[in-house]
Amino acid sequence: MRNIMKLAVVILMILGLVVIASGCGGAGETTDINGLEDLAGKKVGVQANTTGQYAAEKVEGMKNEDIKKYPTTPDALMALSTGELDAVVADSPVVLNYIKHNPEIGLKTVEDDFEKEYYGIAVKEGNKELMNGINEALATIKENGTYDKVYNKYFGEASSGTDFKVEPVESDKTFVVGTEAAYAPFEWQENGEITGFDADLIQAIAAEMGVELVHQNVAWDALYPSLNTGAIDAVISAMTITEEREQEVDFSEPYFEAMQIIAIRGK
Amino acid sequence: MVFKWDFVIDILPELLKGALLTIELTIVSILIGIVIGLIISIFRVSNIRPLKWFAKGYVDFFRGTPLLVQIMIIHFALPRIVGYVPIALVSGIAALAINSGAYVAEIFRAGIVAVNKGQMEAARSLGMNWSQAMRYVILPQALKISIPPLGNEFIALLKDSSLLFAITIEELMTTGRLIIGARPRPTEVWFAVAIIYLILTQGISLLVNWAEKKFDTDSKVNM
Repeated sequence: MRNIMKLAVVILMILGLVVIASGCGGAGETTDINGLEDLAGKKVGVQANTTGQYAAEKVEGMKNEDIKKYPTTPDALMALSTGELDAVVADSPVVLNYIKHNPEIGLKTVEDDFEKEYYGIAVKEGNKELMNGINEALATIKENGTYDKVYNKYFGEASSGTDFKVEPVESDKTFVVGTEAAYAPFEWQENGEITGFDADLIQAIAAEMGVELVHQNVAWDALYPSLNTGAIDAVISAMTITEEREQEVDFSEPYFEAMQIIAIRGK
Repeated sequence: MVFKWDFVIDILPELLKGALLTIELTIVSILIGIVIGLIISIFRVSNIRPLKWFAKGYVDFFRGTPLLVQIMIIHFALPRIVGYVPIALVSGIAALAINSGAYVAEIFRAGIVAVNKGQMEAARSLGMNWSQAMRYVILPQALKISIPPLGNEFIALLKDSSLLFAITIEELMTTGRLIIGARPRPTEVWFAVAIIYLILTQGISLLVNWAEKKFDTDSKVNM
């Protein structure tokens, strides 16, 4: 019995040591990343299948296995703070919002001349009727000032100061929209409801179209498939219009201009 | 919508690369899980109270909480308390092995309990002490009884490794998701992934059947 116990204790200790030793060193401040080209040879986190991933893949000398593809952007930023990653490439409004609301996590940003990106609302390929409806509604709310009110609520000088809200329309015609709701300030869940810039904007568009909005939280990777199977009518999820994506779905006119940014550790 | 076979052929190399990682993860986790399970099961049947309680607590915790939560704790929560830098592969294998260890411990315990009490008494009366009796008489019989349920556990473990998508490990499941992100053909991708998983789990079944036959001493005696 003694021997088995001794053996057991030794094995447990070795297992524990392996786990601890594999991660010793602690997560220090990042100092040697000043732009995109410095990312080569570093561990870079992205959200899987986003423009952040594509931007990281384009960096010269970047190895694919060094790009860690997380299911959500907050997951990647959390992995950066624990030291698993050296940097995260993601949409700048989201990263800045995350850092602003979570200062204790100790992250900062580095800018570079990333290309401008435009977010669009996606519908199933060939669904012209719905696309026209969305584009017309978008144009109307841009003209009548509703868009600006929504924009200022989240990105204005005194953002979070306004409590502007579009009243939902009740109708027999429903408009089912999918969103990956882990992407503040564009979309996040609060009290079981999807809120954020995209949520308010699509509510305004639905009101303009005179249809009742049904807003669903759908995983990022499941957004296109849900469109194609007809589970949802449209996607608003801070989704950048890209050539590749346009081969699979149709996009509305752009509704937001954004850019990538690099997040690193530091105050 | 048609099923495009050439698309399946196109993505097959990527999927097989993911499947290889799934196999590696499963084998390493099974081996560590067996060691943990053996230790915990012996703790559980030992006469030393604290060890018994530890083993019971271990099994209760890791069997009573979802594996995905355990993965998140090991990869995201603990590093912030303990201060180690997590590595996805290490976190993944640790989570699978620790979780599997709890189930394997219960399988071994059931095996040990199933061995007739008289065996221990007989061994002790031959002058063996507790650990000798355990090692030479009880465990060999208990392990043999444990083979079929162990096979079940290994199949479950292989399938559970798909949860590691949450921490970016590019095994079979994650590979499928990443392919769909760039080329959204879920029909081809998920059927192909399912069939590869099926082949892998059938492989485990065959291995377990073989092991069962090999250690089946009773029927040899009867023949």
